[in-house]
Amino acid sequence: MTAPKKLHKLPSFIHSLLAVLFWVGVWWLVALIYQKPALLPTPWRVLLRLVSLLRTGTFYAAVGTSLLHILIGLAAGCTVGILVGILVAFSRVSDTLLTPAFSVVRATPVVCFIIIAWLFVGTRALPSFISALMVAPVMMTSTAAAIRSVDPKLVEAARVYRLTVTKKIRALYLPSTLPQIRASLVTCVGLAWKSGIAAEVIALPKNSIGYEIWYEKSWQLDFEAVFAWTVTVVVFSLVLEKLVKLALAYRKGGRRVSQSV
Amino acid sequence: MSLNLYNVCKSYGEQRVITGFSYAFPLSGIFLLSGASGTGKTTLMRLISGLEPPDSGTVERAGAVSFLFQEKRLFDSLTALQNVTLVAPKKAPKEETRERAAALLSRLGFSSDDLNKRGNELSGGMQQRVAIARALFFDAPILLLDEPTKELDAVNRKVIHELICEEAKNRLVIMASHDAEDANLPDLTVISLTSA
Amino acid sequence: MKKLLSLLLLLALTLCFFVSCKDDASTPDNTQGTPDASTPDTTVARIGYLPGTTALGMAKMVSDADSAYNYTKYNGATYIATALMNGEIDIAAYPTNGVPTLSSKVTGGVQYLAINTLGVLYLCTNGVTINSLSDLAGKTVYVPEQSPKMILEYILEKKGIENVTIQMSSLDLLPGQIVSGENGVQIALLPEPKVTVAANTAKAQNVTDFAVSSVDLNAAWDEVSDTPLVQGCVVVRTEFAAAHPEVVKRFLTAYAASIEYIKNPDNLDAAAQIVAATGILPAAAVAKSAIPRSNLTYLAGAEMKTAAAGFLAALGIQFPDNGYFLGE
Repeated sequence: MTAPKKLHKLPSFIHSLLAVLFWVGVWWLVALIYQKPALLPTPWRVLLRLVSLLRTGTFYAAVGTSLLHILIGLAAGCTVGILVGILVAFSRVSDTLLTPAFSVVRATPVVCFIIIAWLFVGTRALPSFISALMVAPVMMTSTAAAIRSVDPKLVEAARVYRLTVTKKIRALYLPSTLPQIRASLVTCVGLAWKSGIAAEVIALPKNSIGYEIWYEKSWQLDFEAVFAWTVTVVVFSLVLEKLVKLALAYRKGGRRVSQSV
Repeated sequence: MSLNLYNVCKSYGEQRVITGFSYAFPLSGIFLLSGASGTGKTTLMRLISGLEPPDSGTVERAGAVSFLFQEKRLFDSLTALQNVTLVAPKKAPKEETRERAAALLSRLGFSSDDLNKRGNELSGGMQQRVAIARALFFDAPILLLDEPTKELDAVNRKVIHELICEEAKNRLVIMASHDAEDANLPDLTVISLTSA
Repeated sequence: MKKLLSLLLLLALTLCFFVSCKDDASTPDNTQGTPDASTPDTTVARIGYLPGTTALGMAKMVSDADSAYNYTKYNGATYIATALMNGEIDIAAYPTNGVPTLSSKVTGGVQYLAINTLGVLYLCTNGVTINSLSDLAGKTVYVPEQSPKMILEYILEKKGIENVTIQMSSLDLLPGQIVSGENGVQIALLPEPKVTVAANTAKAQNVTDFAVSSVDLNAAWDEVSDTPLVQGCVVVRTEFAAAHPEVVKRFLTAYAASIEYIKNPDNLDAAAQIVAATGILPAAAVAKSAIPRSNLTYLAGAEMKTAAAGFLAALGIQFPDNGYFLGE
């Protein structure tokens, strides 16, 4: 059976490409059957609309602003999450007080937060705030879990050999927490991006992707544009995740840690 | 007096492992804890090192304790060399430390390539030797060795015995071992442990 | 085998590409055959409305539930728009300024049928008193989304009132902000029924600093424009109007009567009940205050055309000449 062997030798991005083409084809078929082009445009029309969007200045301004605000929120949320995760892993008091709070945040649907937080934080800061809020509990849980998963025997060895805090971090904690944090970070990027854009669609800060989506839907009744923006958001989500994976796969000195991240 | 145990008792739940152990150890020399499995050799070492307190009785020690664990317990993400230099005191000059550690490891049969292999890239026997080197490198007046010659071939065992004898001139070395050859070291005091 | 599958997929996709390159079929129209002049046209007109001032005039008709009409309530202007685009409804209450865009999206376009409200905007204040528009000079006014901002800017510009800072806020948040006065929100421009909601909330929370300004924006608009401020209207799909002129005429007669009924101050209590029952406003108490402030009116034909044209021109909204206006 030589055919399957040859197929597996194709680079993986060809597999992804074929998958994408398949689902685009399904979309196309459904659009043709449904026959309501104003509501469900064909992929071709969406592509055309996307190209025309790419020619406008507002496209880049919106993407840039949204990216900036959401990445700020991502950074803040991850930092808080990691710090609280470390705190919670070492202090039982903090664990008792903070873990339930973060669990509640994690369990609450994003939309509820968007609406409540909007009243306190204001329109401009909302996307950053929501991104941070969504990301922090995830980072906290995985950091704490990673720290707790360190082999207690190694912790004893560190005690016996009187290792300083710096040495303990380097030898004991970093090796086991970094892979976990790396994996969580990839999840968090997507989470921050999606929830940040959702916040933008509700609060409508100027010059944001969410504003543009709302504007096209409410004022222009241009659903092709809404689809085109959605495609943009999805593409950026995938690109951001990929970038984070690549960035974290390299240790200091540029040596690749693992291929399969 | 380097280490003094008086009427030490330790139980794990219902199981009474050590009952009324007393001994006064000198500043240097080799001591072998012998006895069947379950007679409390490792437990005693844990009490000596201070990892756990005794249920009753006292443990007095003159300084720090270095411990070679039964399960090696290396830091897998660090190299062989780094595992050893890790236990050097904070103020020690880095270059000198590295040279001393490298010298010790090369005496234990490590080539310069081997020094830079990570913990999880080494064979079982090499890991054991790194663990020994680490325990020897740590500057402490008391040295505990739990099954030091496990997984080692005859050549390496001989080197370890030499090292132990050298160390025993300057510090207190307490070993636990099943290996009959370990009992043949010169100037060895045997402490026999029997089950409670 | 897998290679064959991939090839087949590619073939299927290519086929789809060619098929979709043909023109899309047009949306089906609500035609049950064009009736001839002798038999009366019994086609049921499907009417859409959304909660708010644009549907107030329709309340009596909706409540009467004449079998000649079929009513659907939508939760937002966008949903009515998509319903019109899909050909699911034929007539709809809609904000006047949104009609040109709407018409460009609906197959065959839409036309204005009638104007149903004049201006529904009011200035609400917290902690300051505004007795005339010139009092706004040097102050900050908070306005929601788009058409209120355009309307206010037009009036201020024409009247030569300068130095007024206009801050955008959101229609959801603004009533709460003006009642609480937080973040320095002292003056807000709100449309009905949000004005009544704010006023009722202020009363319930005992906010004595809150007030609805006596400034009449309709009068102010009339001072600077030849045509009135006409914020609410009813539109019809042009294809439907062309195919069923009788139905449309009948609708307009009933509609004018409905507006008369709701607008009549003697009927206020009953009207408020009907408005609440049909879900056009959340409660009868809200409706009672909102109905008089919504300036219900009925403009059709030439009057409507001039008013709508003038309004759109003032706001700088483009529209092609014919096709939007019924009559003539």
